Amino acid sequence: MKKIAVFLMLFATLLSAQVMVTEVQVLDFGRNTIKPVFSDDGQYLLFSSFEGGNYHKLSDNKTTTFASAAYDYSMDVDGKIRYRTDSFVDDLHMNSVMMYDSKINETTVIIDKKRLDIVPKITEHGVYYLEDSKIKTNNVLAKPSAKPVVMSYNRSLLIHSYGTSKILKPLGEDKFYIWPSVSPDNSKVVFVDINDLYVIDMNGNVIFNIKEARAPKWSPDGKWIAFMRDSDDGHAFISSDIYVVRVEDQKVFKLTDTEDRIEMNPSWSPDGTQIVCEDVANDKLLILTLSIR
Amino acid sequence: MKKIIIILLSLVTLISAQDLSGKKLYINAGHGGHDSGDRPPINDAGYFEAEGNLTRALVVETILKKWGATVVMSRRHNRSSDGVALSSLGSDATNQNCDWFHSIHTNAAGGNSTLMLYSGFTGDPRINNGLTTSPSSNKFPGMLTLSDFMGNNLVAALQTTFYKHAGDYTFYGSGDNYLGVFRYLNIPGTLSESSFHDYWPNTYRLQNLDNRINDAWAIALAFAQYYGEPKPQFANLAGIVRTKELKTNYEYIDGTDDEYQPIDSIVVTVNPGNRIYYGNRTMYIDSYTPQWSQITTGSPIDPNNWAAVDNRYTTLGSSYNYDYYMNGYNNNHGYNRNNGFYLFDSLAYGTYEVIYNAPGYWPDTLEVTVSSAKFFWTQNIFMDSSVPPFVRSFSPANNEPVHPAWEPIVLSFSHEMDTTAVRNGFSIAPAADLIFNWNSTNKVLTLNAVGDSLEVETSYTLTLEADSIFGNRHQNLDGNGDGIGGDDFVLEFTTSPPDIYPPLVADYFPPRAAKYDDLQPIISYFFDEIVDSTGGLEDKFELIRTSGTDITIPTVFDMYVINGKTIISLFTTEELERGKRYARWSYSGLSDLFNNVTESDQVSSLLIDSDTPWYADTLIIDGFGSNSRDIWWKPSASGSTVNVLEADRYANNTVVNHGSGSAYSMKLYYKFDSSKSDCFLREYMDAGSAPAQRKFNSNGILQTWVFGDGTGNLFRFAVDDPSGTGTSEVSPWYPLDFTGWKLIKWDLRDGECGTWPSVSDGTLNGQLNFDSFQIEYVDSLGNNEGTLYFEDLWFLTPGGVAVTETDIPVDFTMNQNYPNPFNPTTAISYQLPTDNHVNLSVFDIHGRRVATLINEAQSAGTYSVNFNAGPLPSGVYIASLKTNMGVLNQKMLLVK
Repeated sequence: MKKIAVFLMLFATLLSAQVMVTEVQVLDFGRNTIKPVFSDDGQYLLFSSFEGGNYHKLSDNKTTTFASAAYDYSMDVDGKIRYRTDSFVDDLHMNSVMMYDSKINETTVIIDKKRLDIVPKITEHGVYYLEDSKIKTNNVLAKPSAKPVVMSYNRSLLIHSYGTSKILKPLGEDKFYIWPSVSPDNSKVVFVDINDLYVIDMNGNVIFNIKEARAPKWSPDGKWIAFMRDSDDGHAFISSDIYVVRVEDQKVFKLTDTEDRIEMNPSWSPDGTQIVCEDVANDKLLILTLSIR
Repeated sequence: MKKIIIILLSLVTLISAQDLSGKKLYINAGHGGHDSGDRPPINDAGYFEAEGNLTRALVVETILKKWGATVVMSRRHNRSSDGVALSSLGSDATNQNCDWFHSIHTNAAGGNSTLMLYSGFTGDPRINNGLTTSPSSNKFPGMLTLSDFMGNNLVAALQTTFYKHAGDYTFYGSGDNYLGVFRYLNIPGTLSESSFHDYWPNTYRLQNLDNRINDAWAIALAFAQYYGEPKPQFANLAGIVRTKELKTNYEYIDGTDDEYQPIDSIVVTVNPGNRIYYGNRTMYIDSYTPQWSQITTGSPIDPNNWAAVDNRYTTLGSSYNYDYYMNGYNNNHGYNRNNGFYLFDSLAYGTYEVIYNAPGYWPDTLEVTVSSAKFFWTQNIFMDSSVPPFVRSFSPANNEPVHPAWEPIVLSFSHEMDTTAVRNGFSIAPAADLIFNWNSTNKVLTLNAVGDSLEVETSYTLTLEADSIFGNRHQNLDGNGDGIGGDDFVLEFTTSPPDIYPPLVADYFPPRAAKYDDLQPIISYFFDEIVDSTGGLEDKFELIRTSGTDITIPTVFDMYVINGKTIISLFTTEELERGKRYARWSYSGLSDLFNNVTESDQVSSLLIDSDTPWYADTLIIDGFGSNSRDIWWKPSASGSTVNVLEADRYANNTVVNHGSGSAYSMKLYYKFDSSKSDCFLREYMDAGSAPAQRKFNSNGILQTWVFGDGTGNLFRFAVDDPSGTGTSEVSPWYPLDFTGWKLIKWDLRDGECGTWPSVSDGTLNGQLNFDSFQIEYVDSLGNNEGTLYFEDLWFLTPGGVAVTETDIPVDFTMNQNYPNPFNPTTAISYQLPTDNHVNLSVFDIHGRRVATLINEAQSAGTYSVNFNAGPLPSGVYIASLKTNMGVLNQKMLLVK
């Protein structure tokens, strides 16, 4: 890992003194570095790159590749990384979920090469997937939980909660219903229909929406949602900036305002003080340090 | 019509043998949402890519579903709300857990080509987040396999000329994912650019719904091939119907059938089966049903009732409006869309009689066999017009009063003509001996008088007798052009008075009396008419160094006739000397085409500027060899080129810089759309070519020799300037108001830049490389068509100024004007040994001043001034040169 630079950027006047970025840290991990997230203890960054799935210790800048292919990864406080990976068997796309224990450098198979209708959902309390029209949960790592989980299923939202499932299409047909996630207090769901962000209650009633807002992520305290507003020309991304919306009053704050960077796919640190995202234009990762007042 | 034996075939049951069940495929109709943010109409010709992509995708979906696949569509409409962000597309395709992602587009990489793109390096496809089963973390060679199947299918289905594949890391030069759809895709992904929609013939073909259907077959079939399914037991037959009677009025690739006008209102029938294709009809697609259950309905064709044929509609599926023709777009695909395309899909193997009908053309019939040898069969055809031949254009105009007697008579016919019949039916009165010259298509007849001239000041009547003249299908001439054959063509004109003046050097390059700062110039003499070159002219011209002892400078001679005037060029083969004076001689004995012969020599002085810098370094960016077409793009391939009807570049081996020993120049032909005011042409140097990689900066001079076309249109250079806020910078505009060779220089040291909106920032910032030549149409002049030649694109780094003493005339002298006698223009030259105030005036024989030519301070040197007597009467005039060294006079004789 090469540490490029640290920039101080004060946007106090721009952000009405509510949310401001006080520091931008630029990290370079090479080609096609995407989908960064913090570990549960905030000590590590996880991301995918040309080389595969990686975790990076922020305190000593040490990067380790834990898998040749990985997505939807998370690392718990014990250093265990759960992630999805794919394979092709007889030209058919198979899903697997793995667990890599970084302390002992050992990988365990949770789901092995299953042909599934939708991609498995990895949560902190288990891996959910749909098989034979039933929601299944694998509890290798976590105890059973009643906490609801939401998945994007066949252009609808599949909410599994308290052992029961329901399918919602709160905006009707012909929507993607992508990037769904349940709020930390389990009372709401955020998703993107095709291009716009929606927040609904657990019964599918729309609470609010934001135009042209994608890749939403709840803040750990559930008070904020970070998202990106990207644009493209049908071939390539041409711009994107990171925003946050305060759930309470739907007030939107623009965190980045750069012409030479394309910031995408924000993700919160566990303490809610930082956001990590991609800079697609320069193939870098950015850590935005926030001041929220 | 050729009668053929019809082989009757038993009907076969076209049951699909392909089985894609269990496969889940994601089909993305590229771009999306017909709104202001959508891709604009291409070339203003009515094609919208988002709509075209959707059409294909819907048909692909239908075919793949028929073969059992599960298909997930990114969109099924083209409303404003159907624009899908690339990031959402990646997320949806991943969520759907598909086996493949394919995105459908239509703008390949120039020419009439097909392009397949995939994630990764060219030849080395990658999936970003990897695959556990790949031999190396993220390789997926299957993407290349499918690209090859699909690319080759598309070439066969659409008659594109070649296919190439590329990884987006390489193709866009990004070194990583450039295409947004691939960046977050966890499954194999491909993107087809079926054809190059910026190529006009493709733009029109793409508007034919059946062309899109064949395109969709090519895409769908590739999946069956990739998954190892057996070949369908039927085939598609497609073709393009054109006529050689007419060339297209838009851009086409030389040497291809696209040169000829497609016929839109075709009715094509295949038998057995009596399947009928109507080129002129309205079609809608919501769910395409392959043709095997879609035999066209309707009454038999009545060739005598074309209106009824034209008004009969064939509808595939229902007429469900799926919004793709919103915003006023008319989806009447076949009609007047310049494509002539037809398709019969899902034909059983066998031999067919294919009957072609179109209003205004003779019916034709071909025998076509389709077999299991391939899936996409092509049968193009040219149809012959049944309209009687007529004279489309002619020169002189009817009743022209002063047609130059030495100019040819040119008749341009609508059809290929029977040349013997034309000669038999031709007469001219009074009688004249004429030489008949036909062009290669026997459509243009040029009549030259024996002895180079008709009688002067004579009224002629030219007649083509309809009874004797007919086209290649024996229709009698339609002399008055009313659409009905059988009437004579009559042309009356009167010839001009005779030419009694010998040829005159009207101008020079470098110009008269100018200091010149290039050491190896191409010396040009511009005559006011054609100089008779019979017997050679080479010994009539000479370049002599006159400073010190006279020395003849070695040159290579060449001559050109442009717009009815001769240009003589002497190419210097070695450097001239700074500060030295040279004389450009043209010797007596030059004749025009009417035996008017010059009786005296003409000379013009040329002084090489003593301040001409020496160059520390010469970077040859392009010497223009035989490979110009590889290095330079066809102008239409650049998105910056707008409102150009036709343009192309060629390696040319006739108009070259002999001085540098060049064997080739680059010829650029262009034709702007004169109905538009914002016509712009960019002749782009391929960024991947070695010349475009050659770096320079703003410490020197960018220059090229240009053989001008005299149109007055504007020319400039463009260079890439990646260090600045703009991506490129351009030179000021240089008017193309000259013919013959001229060196055009952009001195980058001055920092003077033009403006290229949204591209340049007006300053040269750092390391540069060449981008393009650019030409802008000056619509006020109206010269929308021209041909330029380019030689020796160099970047010169000055090393300083060689201090050289300039040769100064010793005496104060004035030369005899030339020509003399003159009418109405003559040149007066003189030498000044010292700086002086100069007054050069012309007086008549009575001492009255009739013109003041010079009244200013001039530095020492040799000067030449043109005097135009204009309306002055014939007679003797005095040129009087007055300085503080005295007064010199010369008599001049004006003869009108």
